[in-house]
Amino acid sequence: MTPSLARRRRLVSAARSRLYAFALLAPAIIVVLLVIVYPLVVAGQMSFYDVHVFRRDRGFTGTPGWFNYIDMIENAAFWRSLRVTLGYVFWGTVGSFGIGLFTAVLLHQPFRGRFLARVLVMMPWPIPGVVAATIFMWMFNSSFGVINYLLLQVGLIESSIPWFTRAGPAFFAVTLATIWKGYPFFTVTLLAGMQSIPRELYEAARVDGANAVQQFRHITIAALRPVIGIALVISTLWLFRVFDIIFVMTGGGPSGATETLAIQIYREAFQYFQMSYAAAVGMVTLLLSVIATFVYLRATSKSFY
Amino acid sequence: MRTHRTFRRVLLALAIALAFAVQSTHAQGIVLQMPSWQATEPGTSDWWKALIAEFEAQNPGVTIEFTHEPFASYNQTMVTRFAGGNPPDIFHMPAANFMVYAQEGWLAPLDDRLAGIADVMGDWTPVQSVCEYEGQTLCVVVLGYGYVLGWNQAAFEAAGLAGPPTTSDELIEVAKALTVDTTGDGVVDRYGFVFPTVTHPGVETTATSFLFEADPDGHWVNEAGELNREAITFAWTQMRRLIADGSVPLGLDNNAKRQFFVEGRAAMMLEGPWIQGNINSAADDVRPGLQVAPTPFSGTVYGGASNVLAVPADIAPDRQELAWKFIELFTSEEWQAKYATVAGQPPARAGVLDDAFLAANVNMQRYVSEANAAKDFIPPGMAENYTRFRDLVVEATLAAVVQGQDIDAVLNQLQRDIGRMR
Repeated sequence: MTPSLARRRRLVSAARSRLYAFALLAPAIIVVLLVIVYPLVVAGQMSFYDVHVFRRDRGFTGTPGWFNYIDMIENAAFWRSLRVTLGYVFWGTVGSFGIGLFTAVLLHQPFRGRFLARVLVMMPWPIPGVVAATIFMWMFNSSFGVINYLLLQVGLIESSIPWFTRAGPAFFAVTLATIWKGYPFFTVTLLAGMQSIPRELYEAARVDGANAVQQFRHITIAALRPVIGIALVISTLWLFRVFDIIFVMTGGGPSGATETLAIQIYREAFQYFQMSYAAAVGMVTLLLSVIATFVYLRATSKSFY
Repeated sequence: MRTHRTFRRVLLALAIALAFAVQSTHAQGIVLQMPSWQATEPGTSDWWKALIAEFEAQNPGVTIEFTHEPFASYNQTMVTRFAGGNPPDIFHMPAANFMVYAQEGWLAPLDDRLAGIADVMGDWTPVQSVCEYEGQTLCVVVLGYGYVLGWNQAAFEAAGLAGPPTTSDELIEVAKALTVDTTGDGVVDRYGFVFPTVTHPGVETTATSFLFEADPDGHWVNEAGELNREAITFAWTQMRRLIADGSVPLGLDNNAKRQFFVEGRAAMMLEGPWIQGNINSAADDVRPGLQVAPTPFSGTVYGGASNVLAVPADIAPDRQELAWKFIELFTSEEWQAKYATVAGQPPARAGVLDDAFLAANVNMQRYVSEANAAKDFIPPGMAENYTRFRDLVVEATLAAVVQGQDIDAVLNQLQRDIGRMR
């Protein structure tokens, strides 16, 4: 066999292998293209037209342009929603992460009844968002809610707080419901991460004289960095698109105080039937999500073991 | 060979089964789809079901599939169905959403058909005009309404008050007198007046009612889109006074508002004729005291068209014909009268209720008279963007009335928002 023939055979074999790999992946690729890429392309295309109610039979008509994006930049409601969204994502992430980390550390310790405690801590996670929102809506009800009752009983307030009529209290109530719903995700992921940290690291640290806080900071947190990064990305993406909790509790009110970009997209598309404008806001939200993902992953990708 | 024979037998059996299935489908006749948010509402749904039963009896082989769709997502669901080429056959919709469907060309013109029942339409509610779009009539109004004041006679008597207020100033005074801590624990047990104070269309309803008192001939905006600043300021100021007096419970939506009134925890509320359903559902010790009166805004009544029936443009002609026959039956004297006797709502057709029925139903008299006196809630030029306009008004009203923001600043922002509406 000449060297050139052997080389050709190797190339053919490699090409066949690649073709085979692609053939195996094809169903997944097709599904991804249909379910994710195609709607994104259509939404992106729509954002450059003036479509009120999207009809496939009509397609896109008129002259495309940046007018929806210009309209969005000039719209005070968009900037207000952007501020609300960033605040909601920030406080939602900080709150969920803080409680999630605390409960993960707690549940990582061996104690009697740990299994039951783990079940109880995870309870909010499987509860549907609408149900969670309804529970909190009743709890924060200004007339007969348990929150006002408790605050009145302990003397922290003199009269009931109308939680959903003022901007600050409404935002607080919605964010608290979101944190309650979201913290078990951090608990699960961080607990799983903690269980994979080799015990020898802690033993070595103790031998070197490290105290509990130092061990926590330099071993637990340091080892968890990649897990924290992924968990933050998933949680942030979830918070960017939370709809049910906010819509049920406040509908985005009062006066837009809890109207995140997700709520604004819904209202523009399905209440006002301005689908192109909604698509433009959706594209910006997508861009923000991508940036947040990139930042988180860059900051937390390195692990020391 | 045997396998081959078995295969042929299976094929034959499948063919026979298919033939029977097709036969059976033909035997079922035509099924018309009619979704509605009222399919489970007590009273109203009973009337719809009776009307459907009558239609089916008159049209053998035709059945109507009357299904419930939640009101909150009704418009979205219907728009999706129309856009997807799968509209219902008989289209029931809230009048406020009419323009969305009219602009898309989804509704069949009814002018020729309505000409055939011109005598009936001559007696139809004046708010039938909401069904007109570009010179064509695209729907028939089911319910035209005017708002009434629900008031608790027992609470009024306990407070030593003679009767319901007739102006907004009186309303504010009476509401203050009716607000009491009956148990003496420092917590208000009964409020004088109740209206929604969270994001809800009912906020616009309340504010507009006050606004109509200040300017009976005006609205939120004129035809040029300029705000009626003086009348709006009056409305918001009056509402602020109610809140400052502590006469209104804060943080309630429309459902909670009704609940407060029905339970006797609020002495007055504004509501459409569907208040009768709330009164009927009250406890035995509260119900006798719950009365209705004209709204206390110097004779100007908030109202308009509530819901309408239409025929989709993109369904088969035979289905359009049947849908129209259904609407024609709905407009008949008998079924219009039953709209009052069964559904408890004022009929759109005038003169169908006999004097004996009206004499025995004082509230129905009120609903009919207020419906006839009502002023349309949609401002001039705002029909096409009404939902957005209403939401802007709700946001602005909450900001000015509940959050106490500067009225001029809120008005300026509202003017800007209305200016950029598309």
